[in-house]
Amino acid sequence: MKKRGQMIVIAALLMAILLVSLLPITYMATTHYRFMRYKSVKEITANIASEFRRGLEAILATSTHIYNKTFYLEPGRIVAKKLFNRWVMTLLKAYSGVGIQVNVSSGDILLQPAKDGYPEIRIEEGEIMKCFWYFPRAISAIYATMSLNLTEYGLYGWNISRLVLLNLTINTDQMRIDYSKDMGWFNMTLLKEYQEPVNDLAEGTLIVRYYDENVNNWKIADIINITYRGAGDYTIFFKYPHDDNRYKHLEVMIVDTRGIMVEATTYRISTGIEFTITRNTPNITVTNETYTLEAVLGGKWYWNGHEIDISGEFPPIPPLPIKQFRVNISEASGWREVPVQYEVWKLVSWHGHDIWVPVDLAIPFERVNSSMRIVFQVNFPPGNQTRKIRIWWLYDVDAMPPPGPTDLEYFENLHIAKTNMFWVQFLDSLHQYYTVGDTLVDYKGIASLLMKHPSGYHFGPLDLQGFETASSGWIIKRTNLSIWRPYGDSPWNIKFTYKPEERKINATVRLIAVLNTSKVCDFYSGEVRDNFYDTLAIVLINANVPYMQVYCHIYWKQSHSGRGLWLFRAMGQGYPNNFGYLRFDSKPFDQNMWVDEDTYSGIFQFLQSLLYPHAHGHIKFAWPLQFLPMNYPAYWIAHWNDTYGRAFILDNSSLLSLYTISDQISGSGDPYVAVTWIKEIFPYTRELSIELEVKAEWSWLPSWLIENHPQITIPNDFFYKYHLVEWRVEGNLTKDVVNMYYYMFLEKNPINDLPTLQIEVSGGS
Amino acid sequence: MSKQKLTIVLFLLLLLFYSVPLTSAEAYTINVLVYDSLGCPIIGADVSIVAGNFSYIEKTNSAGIASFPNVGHPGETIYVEIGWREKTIYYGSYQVSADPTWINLTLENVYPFVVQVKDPSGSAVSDSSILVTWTLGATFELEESTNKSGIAVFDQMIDLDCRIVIKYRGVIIYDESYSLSKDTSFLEITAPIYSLGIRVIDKNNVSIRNALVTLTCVDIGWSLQKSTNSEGYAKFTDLPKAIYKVEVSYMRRTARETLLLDSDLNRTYQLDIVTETTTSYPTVTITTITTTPSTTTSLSPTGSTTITSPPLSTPSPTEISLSPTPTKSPTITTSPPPQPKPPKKEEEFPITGLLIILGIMAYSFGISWVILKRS
Repeated sequence: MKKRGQMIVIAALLMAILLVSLLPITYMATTHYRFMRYKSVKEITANIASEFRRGLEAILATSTHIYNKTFYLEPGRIVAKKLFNRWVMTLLKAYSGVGIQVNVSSGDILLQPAKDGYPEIRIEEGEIMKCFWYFPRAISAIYATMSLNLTEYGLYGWNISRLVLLNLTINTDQMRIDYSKDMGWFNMTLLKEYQEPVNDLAEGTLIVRYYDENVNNWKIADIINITYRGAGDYTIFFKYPHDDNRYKHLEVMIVDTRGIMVEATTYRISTGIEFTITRNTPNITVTNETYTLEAVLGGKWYWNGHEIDISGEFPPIPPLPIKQFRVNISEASGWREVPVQYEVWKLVSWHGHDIWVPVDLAIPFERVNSSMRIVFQVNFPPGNQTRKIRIWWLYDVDAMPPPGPTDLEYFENLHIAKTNMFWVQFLDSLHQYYTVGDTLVDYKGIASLLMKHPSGYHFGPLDLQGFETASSGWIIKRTNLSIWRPYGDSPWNIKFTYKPEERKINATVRLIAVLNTSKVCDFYSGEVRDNFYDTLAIVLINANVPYMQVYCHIYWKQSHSGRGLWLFRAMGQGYPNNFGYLRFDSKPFDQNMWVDEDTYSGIFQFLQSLLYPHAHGHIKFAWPLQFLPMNYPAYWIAHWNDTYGRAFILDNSSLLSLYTISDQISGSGDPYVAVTWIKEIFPYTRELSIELEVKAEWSWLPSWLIENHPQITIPNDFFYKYHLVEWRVEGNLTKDVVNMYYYMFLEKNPINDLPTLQIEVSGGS
Repeated sequence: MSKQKLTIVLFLLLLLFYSVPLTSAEAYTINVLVYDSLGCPIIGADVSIVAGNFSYIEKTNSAGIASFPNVGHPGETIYVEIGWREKTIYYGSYQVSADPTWINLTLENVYPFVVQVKDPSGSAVSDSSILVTWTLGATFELEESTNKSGIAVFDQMIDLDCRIVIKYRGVIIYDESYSLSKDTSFLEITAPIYSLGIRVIDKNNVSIRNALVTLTCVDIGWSLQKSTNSEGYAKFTDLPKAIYKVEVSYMRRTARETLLLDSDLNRTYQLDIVTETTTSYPTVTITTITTTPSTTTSLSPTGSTTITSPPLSTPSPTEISLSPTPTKSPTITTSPPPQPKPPKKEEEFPITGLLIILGIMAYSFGISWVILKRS
């Protein structure tokens, strides 16, 4: 019993010793476990954070490369989101054993407040990444936030935000050139996120472009050397084999070792390309003119089909995606952005003649090239002779073509264009009806332009060409109109919407219509023939102004004889009861007309018909017979009534073209001249149209006699062109109103004191 | 009533009398409803109205209605012009009769254009892309895909001279001009879509199973891959007429051919190899007791199951032919595919420590037991 008691005591002691000895072992084991868990979590989160950054770098690299091909950041964003999803899936797979839960979101971050003329740079919620390019300071950036749970480790709500960027800054004050060595150089700074310098820029990862006038395009410069000066600062030496100042206008593209791309130019963000435009029209105190200007890559400018004189060296338009471009005009209250649109024009050979033809609105997602034109309007109110213009471009690559505001509308199914000044109905084989009062007119598919007052009131269509007089014996048949007119079997091709059309971004400055037909139609019989002449017509309908421009080209493929050739013919339908034109003669034309005071340097006079006569305007001849000089300036004629009216303006080159025509047309009574007719329809009705007919001589015969249109022969392989402006005028037309607009179309006249538009560069890069 | 008052009353009555026609001379609203030949509204059509010297233009809304408030006077004749798909499709005159005047137009010249695509055997071809293009000044295009019945519908078409291009698997299988009118608004096209059967045999004319056949469409670039079945046969169906590159590979032996597929075709490729029965991996053979001849089932370690039957005539080791229908279904046992090694789960508690503790406890108890025993 005693022994048993001892044993129990010993056993209890042993148990106690055992338990005591177990305690440190248990403690050590527990602490070791805890330490291991902590270490694992740290490793996992560190790994994930590192991969998150690498993932963002890869996504930004891919997206900037996609953008550089498509010039649309959204596909890059879609790819970014896909890559994100894939990365998250991979993460979930890789760490599936630890109960990982990941939520990646795009956050909002301010990268840089507005300063030095640069706007605020921010990545907004949902954008994931942004690129601010095309000025001396360019940034590509991506920012995302990740929330992570590791349920197996009891880790919840671990958040991490990562910013990845590449920032290029060109020092535009330190651009130099050594013409003797054909070498230019500039300094720039390249930084990553958190101001970390990029120190490993290599030659193949840098592209410098400059504008080469010889090829009228931007060219990649040969890089001579890249010198790294520490802290992300580089000096880039490049070959510049020209003697001009365009070395200052550069475009620089860089890809860093992570594959992230950034693109900058040396143009100042505060100015873009700044210049002044001067009009040299007389009477600027009263004239109110709006020009529709076209700027081309190499610094060439066009107005009304003519190249504009430029004083000074116009900076080349940088080769950026054309959607970025905007135009501002200075006003008393500051700069005002004006509507701008982008077009593609192409020099085509049409029957052996080079003609600039608008191909379409430019695809917004293409770089500016030599065939693109930036089109905008410049208004000169009374008293303003110069306007300051700024062509600039958006810093944010998410920019799209500006949507307006514009008064330009187009109803594509009926081919009707509308502005707040007028309508134009494009008549062709698909749209061949119009109404005159309560009468329906079938125009038989003839391609024509029907300008209307905004109320819908009109005088009838404008035919772009006509040949052969419809006659019955010695009296001109019916309404004394031409028979063979351009046929619209190939209808008017309207260019109004940017491609891709699903986006529904429309033109804001002007609508373009092109007619290219090889057929003619007899209005009276409806017969269609293809052995007369081809017509290529370009029509520009401008927003917010009362004029449309027509560039018409005619090619006769076969010789034809007939009575009468009309360059254009505008119906009157008997509606207009006033008629006016500019003439050279200072004397009254006849007793039915009165002469207003001189409107231009005492040479031209504004004549207005008081009655409904078959009054005759003229270009080369006047009464008494008098030759006008060949450098006769533009020609203006109009008809109107109390409601509505329209004027036609031919520019000088068109008039010269008319003389060429008359020289080449054979028949009796050479030389042929262009004569304007106001038609009186025998015996009771009057058409009161305006017609520009190529005619041999002045005739005293009544206009309804066939003999008034002598037989002429037009040679084959014969080409001519004219440029016409149709202007909607108000019912109460006066000479003052006329003086307000017609001068602007006298551009490029050889007489010195005639108006020209001058561009002077006042600012730039 | 004095004469003066009478004059005033008469004047007021006269004013009232004339005010009625003055009120009625107010312009009426014209509503134009535009429907296609099926009675569906045409949305986005241009509707122009000419009333006297005035013109108006509107687009039809989602109900096919273009509304022109205060444009027509009672009894006035107005002209209505409808434009759709860049063409004037209707011109007519109406008299303004009520306020509003409703002009309901069902345009029979706007109809659906139905294209059905079938293969030479008469089966419907689905998922073919049909592009209808036409030029009216500018070029327009519409694209639809055929459904399971091989049908694509182009809604609200008009008379046009168009071009129809059908693509199947990226290959143009039809490209023709077409004069579309209501009479020709159903077009059935037999598309050149064929099949290509590939049989692969060895040097001894024995069919090779699991040979890889790659078919590449030369013009477009896409590829299809199939393995030959137990008969050494792989069949590609729904192939558009095109030039294909056929590549057959088995055990580093390859045969290639480029062919124009313009009909259903069967080709046999012989490879410079003699196949054997044994494979590099173990097979499980299950023999059925009641079936004559016996059917063997070879099981591959990847989990795929193939059934081989013993030769019926020539006892060639790899001869594969159709097995007779067994009277009793053979029992097929598949070996599970090798599972990837599960990731080592991190120890939640140090096992060694526990073992040590247990060992110590056992040791302590052992000593205690010995001591107790001795005592």
